[in-house]
Amino acid sequence: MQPLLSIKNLKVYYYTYEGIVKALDNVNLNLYPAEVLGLVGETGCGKSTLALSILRLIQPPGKIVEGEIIFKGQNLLEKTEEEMRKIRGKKISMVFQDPSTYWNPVFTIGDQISETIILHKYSIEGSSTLFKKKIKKVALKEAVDLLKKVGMPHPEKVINQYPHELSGGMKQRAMIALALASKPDLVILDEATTALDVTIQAQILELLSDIKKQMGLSMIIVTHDFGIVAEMCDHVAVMYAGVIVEYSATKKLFKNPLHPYTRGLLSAIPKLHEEVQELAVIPGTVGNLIDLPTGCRFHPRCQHAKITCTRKPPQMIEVEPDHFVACFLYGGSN
Amino acid sequence: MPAANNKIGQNLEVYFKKFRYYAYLLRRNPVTVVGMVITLGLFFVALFSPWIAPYNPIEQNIAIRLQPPTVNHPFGTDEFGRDILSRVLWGSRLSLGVGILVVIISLMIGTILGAVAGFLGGLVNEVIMRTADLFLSFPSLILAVLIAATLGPGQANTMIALVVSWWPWYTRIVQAQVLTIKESRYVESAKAIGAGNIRIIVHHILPNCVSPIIVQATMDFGYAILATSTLSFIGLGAQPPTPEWGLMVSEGRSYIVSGEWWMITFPGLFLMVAVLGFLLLGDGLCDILNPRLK
Amino acid sequence: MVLVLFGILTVTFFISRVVPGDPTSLFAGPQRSDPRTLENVRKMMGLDKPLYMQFINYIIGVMHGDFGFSWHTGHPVVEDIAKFFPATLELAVVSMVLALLVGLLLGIISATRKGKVIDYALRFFSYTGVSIAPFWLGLMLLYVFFFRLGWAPPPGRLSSFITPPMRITGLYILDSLLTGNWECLIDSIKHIILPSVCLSYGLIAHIQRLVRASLLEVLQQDYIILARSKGLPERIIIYKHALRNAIIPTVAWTGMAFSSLLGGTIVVECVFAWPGIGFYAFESIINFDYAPVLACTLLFTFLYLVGNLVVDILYAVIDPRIRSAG
Repeated sequence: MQPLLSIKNLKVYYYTYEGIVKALDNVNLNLYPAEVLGLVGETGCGKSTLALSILRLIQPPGKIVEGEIIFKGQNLLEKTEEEMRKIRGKKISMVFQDPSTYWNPVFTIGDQISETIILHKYSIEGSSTLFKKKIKKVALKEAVDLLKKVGMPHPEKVINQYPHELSGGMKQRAMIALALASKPDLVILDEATTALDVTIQAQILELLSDIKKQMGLSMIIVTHDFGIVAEMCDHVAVMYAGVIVEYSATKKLFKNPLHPYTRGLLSAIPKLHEEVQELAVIPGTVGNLIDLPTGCRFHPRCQHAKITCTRKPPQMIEVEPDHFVACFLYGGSN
Repeated sequence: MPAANNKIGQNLEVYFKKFRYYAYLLRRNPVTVVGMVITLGLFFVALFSPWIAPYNPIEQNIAIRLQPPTVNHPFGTDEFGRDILSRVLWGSRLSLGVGILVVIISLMIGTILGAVAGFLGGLVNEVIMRTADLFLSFPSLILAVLIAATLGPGQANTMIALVVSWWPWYTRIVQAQVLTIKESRYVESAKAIGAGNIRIIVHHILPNCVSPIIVQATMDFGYAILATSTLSFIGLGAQPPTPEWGLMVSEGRSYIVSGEWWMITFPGLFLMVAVLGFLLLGDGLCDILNPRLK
Repeated sequence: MVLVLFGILTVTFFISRVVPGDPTSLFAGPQRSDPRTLENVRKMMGLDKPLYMQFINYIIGVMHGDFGFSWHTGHPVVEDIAKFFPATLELAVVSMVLALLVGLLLGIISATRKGKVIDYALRFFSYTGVSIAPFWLGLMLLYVFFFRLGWAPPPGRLSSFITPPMRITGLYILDSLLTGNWECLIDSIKHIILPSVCLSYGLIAHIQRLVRASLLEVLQQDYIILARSKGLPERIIIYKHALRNAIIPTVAWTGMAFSSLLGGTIVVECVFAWPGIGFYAFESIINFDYAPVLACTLLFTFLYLVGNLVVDILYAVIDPRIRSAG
């Protein structure tokens, strides 16, 4: 089966006063149609940068230095800005982390949702004002339907409300509705539930699984919460300091975590059925993305580190079917 | 190595790093450097004008009146034959002196009132701030004109008028800062270890007010110079034969008809450059003291 | 608002009365030496009565529109003000509109082309704009455009050979339009160009800086990223999403801008012989005629307060968050 999205050797650097921040280095990833991919990692590991790069939303001083992002057979990095605009919001859309800051405060929810609908569905350039008004009415109706679909209470009322009049959960539902407006092939959710409290989080996740079943779209869920990964994702990629260290089918990852970092992350989660005296931690900190260690980026914190780990970065190896890891523990040191 | 040496070494390193950072900021803000150069130049001229100026600014010489710029008189002469260059140079003393005095006095009054208002709160705060607001309800120049007109012409009266119009700005800034800092954690902890009120004000609160005040004051030097010149132009400030820039423009006004442009151009130019210098410097200081990563 | 007005009246009263020296001579004018006149003025002003009575009389007088007598024009101050007001109104409105439109436009250009040559040029312009003295600018403009180039008409509101249009509002441009008096319309527009440029110059510079700064800040906001992710063209992002948010601080500042506008009218009207309140105030000052100065101060301050009120209303219109809060 052809992947829907294929990222090859992606390098994204930020050029700052203090030096070049290598936010993403040689990232490789595949996403298949109608599947959910989880992107896990600590804060600052590059997950959001990866999400933004797919839509080419990286702003200066950041720059996509190298690589390919193949979406439906076409390299997005070679497209013109004009062509990208036809993809953003239409084929690939994004749901962001903090619903309070990502809605424009001076326009109503209805305005902002119908804007996307009108943009991608109808072309109203050069039409008369009367026609534009008619289309706006139609679009607003469609917005109400969308809000119904995401389980928003009183959608006709919400259409005319401003973002500050809604609660966090409602705003996030509305953002999901916005993302689904043009029936995209891929929805990227960048820590979409992090800013919500747990009960709302659960509701949103349920909503997302429903949508996944109904609409058959692919999703990339960027998160630091393994719980969400376990519940929602078919595949998961673990990121550390700008590289992907492990990629596997979700069940296999939980059953058999290979990379020392993954192991460390999973063991740090306290489990209800176990009794432990101390919480397991991964010693050390992520460190500076400017002064990176040579070789494997994790080796300073790894208890299994060897000389080979300091020489060059490990390549991704398939250890078992559909389970890849970038670690010299599993070979690849020649 | 003895502990003392280490500490000095550490301090030096900190200062060096700070210095490099400020140098970087200055490089990113060439405009600030221009502002600094201009203001330093202005101070220099003001300080040394008695020695730099080629002629006596109020000495009249009717024989050479109304001459266009020449080598002898690079800025020309006015209707009384006075050398305009000398008058402009001396004028810098006046403008700078008055401007700085006005700002410093307003600053002191405003800061004290603002600190007292913010710190004591309650009725004192209400009274002081309402009064400040009242004074701020007047368009600033209008109030100054009224007071100056009441007191009569003269530089001293202009200064009083400007100070009365200006102090509320500082009161507002300082009061707002004091209020914010008063509620902050480290004041709370200072109180917890028993620091007295005055010590808290002096050691903790005032130092944090400094940066917005510095920025405002620097820009205000420029505005004060502009305001005094405007008042002199109207006839309320400096009186003839004082070589004040605004007054010089006013005096040269009637001669534009006959095409004698130099009497107005040079004082006005210096005025603009002086104000510009302070504004650029103030803007740059604002950038430096509140760095925002771009 | 009423409280503020009262406060202002109090302040102006005290300034005019509680002054070192004898307030009588202020109001009497240069005929200070004549004891008879002084005595008359004293009685007229009620200065022989205790202070609190004077204050009450003052307030009552103001409420009846009695602002005293201008001896240099020979009319009651109120009459003079009514005569001169429309000219200032016309000039102020034109300057304000000019400042807003041009300032907004330049600010947008400067922000969207940040770092390029035009941005630096515009920023340089804005710095000079704020530091230039309006009286000097006016004179230089007159010198260049009138004396040297002959493009602009001489100072004044209308050429001497043209009669003003029929007085409906007192605003020449409006009246000429309403009465179809094209000759007068063109002439009054020609005359208003230089003074309004002079008056608005500083404002344009300020507004431009403000728009540029707030637009740049707004463009960093998260909702702009979302807007981009929707695939909206850059033009719409800037003019619809960003601008609407960026104007908010500009509108808030416009109230203050009005203050410098009002202050500026004194010098600009003086330089351009524009027969407005500022000119009247100026003439009164150089003639030591105090009552008009007091009255003009009150008028300017009142206008400033009204202006701020309008701005507050506009603010609520533009920012829905304010509407919900208050």
